[in-house]
Amino acid sequence: MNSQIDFKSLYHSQETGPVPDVKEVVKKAAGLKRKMLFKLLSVNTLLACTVGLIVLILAHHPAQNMTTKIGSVLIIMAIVSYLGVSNRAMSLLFKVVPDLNNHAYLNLLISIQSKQRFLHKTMLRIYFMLLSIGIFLAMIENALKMGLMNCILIYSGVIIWIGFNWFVMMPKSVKKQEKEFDLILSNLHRINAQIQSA
Amino acid sequence: MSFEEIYTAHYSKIFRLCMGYVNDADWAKDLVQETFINVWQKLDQFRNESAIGTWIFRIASNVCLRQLERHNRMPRSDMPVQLEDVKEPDMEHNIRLLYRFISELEETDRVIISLELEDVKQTEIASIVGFSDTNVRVRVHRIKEKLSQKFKDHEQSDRF
Repeated sequence: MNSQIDFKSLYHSQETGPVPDVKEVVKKAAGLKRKMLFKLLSVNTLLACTVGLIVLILAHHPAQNMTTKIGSVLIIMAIVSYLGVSNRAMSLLFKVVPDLNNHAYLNLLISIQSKQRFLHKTMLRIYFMLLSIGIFLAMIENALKMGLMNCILIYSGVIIWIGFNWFVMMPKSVKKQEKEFDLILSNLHRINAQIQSA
Repeated sequence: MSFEEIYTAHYSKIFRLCMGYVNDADWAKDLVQETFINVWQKLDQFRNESAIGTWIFRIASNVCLRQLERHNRMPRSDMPVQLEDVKEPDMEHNIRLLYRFISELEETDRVIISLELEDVKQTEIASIVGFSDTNVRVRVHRIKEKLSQKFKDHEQSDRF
């Protein structure tokens, strides 16, 4: 039987069923675009409001100590750098048009994923560092006004929180993301190698 | 050509390509929808440098190839939902085997053989995958041999 197999005719005999309504595809496509835009806008708005709030507080209650000013600036820098990188990463991913040839497309995905992997790892460290130092400095002025005991209590809490983020949360998040990136990249490399080996 | 005309003209071809890639009718329908969502979004950027069919095959094959990558980002529940519940047609034994065997090949081989069986010219297959024409010819020959061997093995295992 083997030598007589007509692959072409078998292949075309696969029924595809009735063509689903085109309006649904258009509706879904427009919906996805809106959803993506909404997600991007909501994260940006939330963080922009936080920055706005910090600026507003500083404007109405000017800080006496330099530490408060430097701390606030560092917190704002942390938020802005996070926004910048996450917006860039998102646009990198969604601006990709999958109409390149397979080889070029896989190469592009590999380069984007590698870039995202680096950005994620580096930026997460910078974000936590700026935020932790910022909070630490910004609180000095008010903590000193509360008396020694309260000051020790508050700073113990802050140091525990920073330590927990730095030594538990961040490595956990980095490890999880690294695992995902590794899996994605190794598969993209494997498929690309199939083209290169031809 | 309007999007609706393009969709109607190419739906079946893209479904077969995706079906060959994943050998799962529901998943294949998701991939077809994802392909046409991309087509809808980028149609205004299509610059007649290639035939529209080749352009859509390129998008569909890339959508297929990035499946693992996509699955990590987008849970299947977030994928486009089919409103009309189209029942999977009952396939004959050999058709089922062919699609199963295609889906067992290496990822790029699945794309190449599906395009070949869809009567896409080898020059176009080369431009879709990123090969030279000669590579495609050699690869198609090897894939057909692999498929024949799979049928032969299956036939023999059925006898015993």
